[in-house]
Amino acid sequence: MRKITIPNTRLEGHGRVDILLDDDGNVKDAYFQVIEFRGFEKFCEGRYVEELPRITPKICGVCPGAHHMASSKACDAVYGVNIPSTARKLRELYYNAHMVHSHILHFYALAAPDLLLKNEEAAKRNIFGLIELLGKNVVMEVIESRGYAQKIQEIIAGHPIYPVSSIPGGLSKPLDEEDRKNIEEMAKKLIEFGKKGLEIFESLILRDEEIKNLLEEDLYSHRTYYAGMVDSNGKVNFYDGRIRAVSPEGKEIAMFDPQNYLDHITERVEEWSYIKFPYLKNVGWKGFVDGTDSGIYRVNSLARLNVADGMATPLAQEAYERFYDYFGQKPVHNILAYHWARLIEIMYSAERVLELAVDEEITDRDVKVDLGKADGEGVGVVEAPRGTLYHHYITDRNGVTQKVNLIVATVQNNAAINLSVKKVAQNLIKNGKADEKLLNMVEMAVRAYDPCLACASHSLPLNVKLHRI
Amino acid sequence: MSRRTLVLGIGNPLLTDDGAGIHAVNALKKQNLADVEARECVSDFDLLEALNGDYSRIIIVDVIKTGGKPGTVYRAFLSNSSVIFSHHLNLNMINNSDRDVILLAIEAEDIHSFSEKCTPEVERAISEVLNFISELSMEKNQ
Repeated sequence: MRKITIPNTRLEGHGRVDILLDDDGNVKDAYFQVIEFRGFEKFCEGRYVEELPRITPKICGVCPGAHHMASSKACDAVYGVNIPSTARKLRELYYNAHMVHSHILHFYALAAPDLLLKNEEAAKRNIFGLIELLGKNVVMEVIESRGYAQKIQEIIAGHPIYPVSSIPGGLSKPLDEEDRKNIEEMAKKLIEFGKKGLEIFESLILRDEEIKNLLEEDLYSHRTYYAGMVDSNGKVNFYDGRIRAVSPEGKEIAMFDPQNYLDHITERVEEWSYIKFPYLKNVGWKGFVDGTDSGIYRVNSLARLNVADGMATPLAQEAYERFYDYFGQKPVHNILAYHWARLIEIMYSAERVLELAVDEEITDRDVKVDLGKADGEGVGVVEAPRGTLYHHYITDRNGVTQKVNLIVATVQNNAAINLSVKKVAQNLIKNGKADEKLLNMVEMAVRAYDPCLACASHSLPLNVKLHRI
Repeated sequence: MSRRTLVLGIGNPLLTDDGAGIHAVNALKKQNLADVEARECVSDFDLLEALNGDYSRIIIVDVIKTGGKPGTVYRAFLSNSSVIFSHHLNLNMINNSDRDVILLAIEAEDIHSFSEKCTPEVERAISEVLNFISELSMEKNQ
């Protein structure tokens, strides 16, 4: 049996797709494999729980903010405290800047080359190809905007990459007026940038017949369940809320408080992957198939829009309505729509940062409460850029961590990613023929989910000359 | 163009030798060398931003696994158009840049165990890297 292996590029971390061909050269099976193992859950055991908001962000160099927030919220729950209103708002402000930062990286550096440079040779399908296509000014604006999002994170969290200020009970420092004004100005620029991203999608991507067809045809579609966080009005919220799950037909099948996640989500293990396969407990595991009988569910931007009643800010709501008008259905099942959904979320986060930056409470000095005794157990959940992120800690009475369960976003899309690579590979690879463009179309199925795979590791492939210094 | 040098460190500070680039950056921040700035690097954007910044020299510090003697410090020269880190950190742009870009790679011994400290050989190599950067910086300022 012949095997084609695609080492994945333009995603966070190391993964690969193995495609198994039958004797006729047609696809028998395809697997998305994660070839790294980390073990952070074990590493955290035996440590004081208040250390975890500073340790767990180092799981990843791209989404440390999500771990910082989920971990802080889990610690709040362990200590049974309600944090001050200003601390909550500052965390949410920080976190929306983090979403902008992460989505900019994924859309412009990793995904856009597939959509805008699909017919270019592989070596040009990257951000430098985008410079040629869109012009240096547009790409510099992308870099500048990502810089604003990073700067906002640094102001609030104390470090541009690895945040430190969120602690059990609130934040270690309040926001000064000068910094607030700075954030307000940067948020206004991010809103303009958010509009530009949506314009690029409409004017360049939706007008490309090939991409338009891919968005509308079945090749990249699966009818699965979706899950994501919504606020009390049913609108998308990244920092806080309840988890709603909807069926492939869009019917709400669960709405639960994050701490009850184990009543709804369970995981299975496959011997060929280091990462697990969560599914909806009450629907059940039926194997790697989609449909109403299969408990496979999806998270991340498209899922968040699919489970929500709308966006909580005006420009994002407008974009949300345009999105569902275009597809004429809800839920939208096409994975390439994840990219468009990310741009809508950039718009929402930019608007939300501005709303919070001008909130009259935001510079209040009361940003933390005293902690009492550890209560023994806490769950903290946020919507990471890549989907719902669960941190669940159990401690002893001294606050020493006894058990940690992390369900990260990418894991929840793992089964669906496997469905996608198999479907795309089976449809495109025939009689053993698979050129680079076709294999990239298989990779596009992975990249749409923006998976994050133990991403702090990195590789420098061959063709490098090394001289001792 | 300015005389400033930017040092970019890559790695995870919790994974023993993998964090060498970050440890080097942290040490440089404390040294306060004239015209030398140091920071962590995560993605394409950080490198692109650096290449478009007001720096005449950029030094990237990371670890490498070639099977060689742990702690050996290499200078890497790129010769291929498809060279990338994860995060699609595209090093190809280095060859196209008019900046003086130096890639330093330390042979790692352990990049899997959880530790905020590097192995002794890599600790020594970090000192070697710092001396190298300091000497370059002095040459430049003479």
